[in-house]
Amino acid sequence: MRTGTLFSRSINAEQEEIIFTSGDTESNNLTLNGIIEGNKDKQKKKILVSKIEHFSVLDTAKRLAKKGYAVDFINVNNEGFIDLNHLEDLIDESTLIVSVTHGNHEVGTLQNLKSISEIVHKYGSLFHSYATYSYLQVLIDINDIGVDLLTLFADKVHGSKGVGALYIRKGTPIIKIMEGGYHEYNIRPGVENIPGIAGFGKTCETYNDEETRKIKNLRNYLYSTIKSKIDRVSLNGASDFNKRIPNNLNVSFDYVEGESVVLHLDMRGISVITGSSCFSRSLHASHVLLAMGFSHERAHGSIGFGLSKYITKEDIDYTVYHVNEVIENLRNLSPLTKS
Amino acid sequence: MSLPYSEKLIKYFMHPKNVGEIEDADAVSTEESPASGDMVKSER
Repeated sequence: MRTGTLFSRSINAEQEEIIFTSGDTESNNLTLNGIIEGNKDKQKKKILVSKIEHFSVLDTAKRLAKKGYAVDFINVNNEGFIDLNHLEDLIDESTLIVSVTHGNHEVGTLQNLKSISEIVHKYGSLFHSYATYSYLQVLIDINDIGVDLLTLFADKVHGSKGVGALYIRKGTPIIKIMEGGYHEYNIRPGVENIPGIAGFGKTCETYNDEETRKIKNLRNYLYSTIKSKIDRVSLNGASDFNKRIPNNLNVSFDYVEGESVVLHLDMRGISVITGSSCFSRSLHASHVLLAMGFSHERAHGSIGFGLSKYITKEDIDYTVYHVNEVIENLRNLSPLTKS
Repeated sequence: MSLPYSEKLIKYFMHPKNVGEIEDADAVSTEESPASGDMVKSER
């Protein structure tokens, strides 16, 4: 089966509604810039994005703000869900496009895209969603959720790096932002990464619900084991685990700084992420956790775990054993523990 | 992952020195920058 067909079927789209890109960063940049280029209605010049977007959306929106476009940022609550009332306050007939991530890249909260798209479309605006982290892990039916553009990325589903896709609903006014040919329905010039795209298609074909169920059970086991062994742990993201990406767990450990946890675990062969500023190249704490209303301390102590179909229960036990030991050692050093 | 830290830093990171509490310390001082996640408490 053609790879384009595999993709379109996986989200219930038409084959000619999928174009391939170099990844999610390009797809998100193409979305915001290309929609602005293609816009014929000069009244529409406002862009709305959530405060917890990936930098490829957030920074593109900020760059457009510097160019004179009206850009606003939608609030989220303390579990990372979009504040629909705030969206209603910000949106009006001048809104060109709204962009909200489906499954958050950091805390894993899954938005109810349907309720957002209903509001967005009331004002004749376009709706884009960054779905890299939720794609294939939860059912995405673009006709049901009502998005106009959807970003996908191979890397997060065991495909290769350097391969992404963008779903563009038929009739959406978008213009290419690079010159160099007429590839991908004249929206994305440049020779496609055929081997990478074929591999992305294979991941699409082989992903199945059984694996997702297994990952979800292991994620739940990881959380319950951490909670049973370590005190002063707070869950970041949706408390209803059915409203999280199945392979995501993000928690904050009181009194420790994430960079130290990441380094100690790395030396024991365990890879995790942190929202601590010291570990980010920008030297800023996680904008996601801060937007959710949490303190710098909570952001600094946050650790994100990502699971996959290759993770076993033994891996989880190994991880929790070492996390427990590392947290205990760091708390013994921490000036916060006894303050 | 290749670590962007010097060997010396990793040595002290793995084997910290002069860590602990002094009972009835004459002086205690704490300096911190919550935004960047740094905090140092010293006692003597």
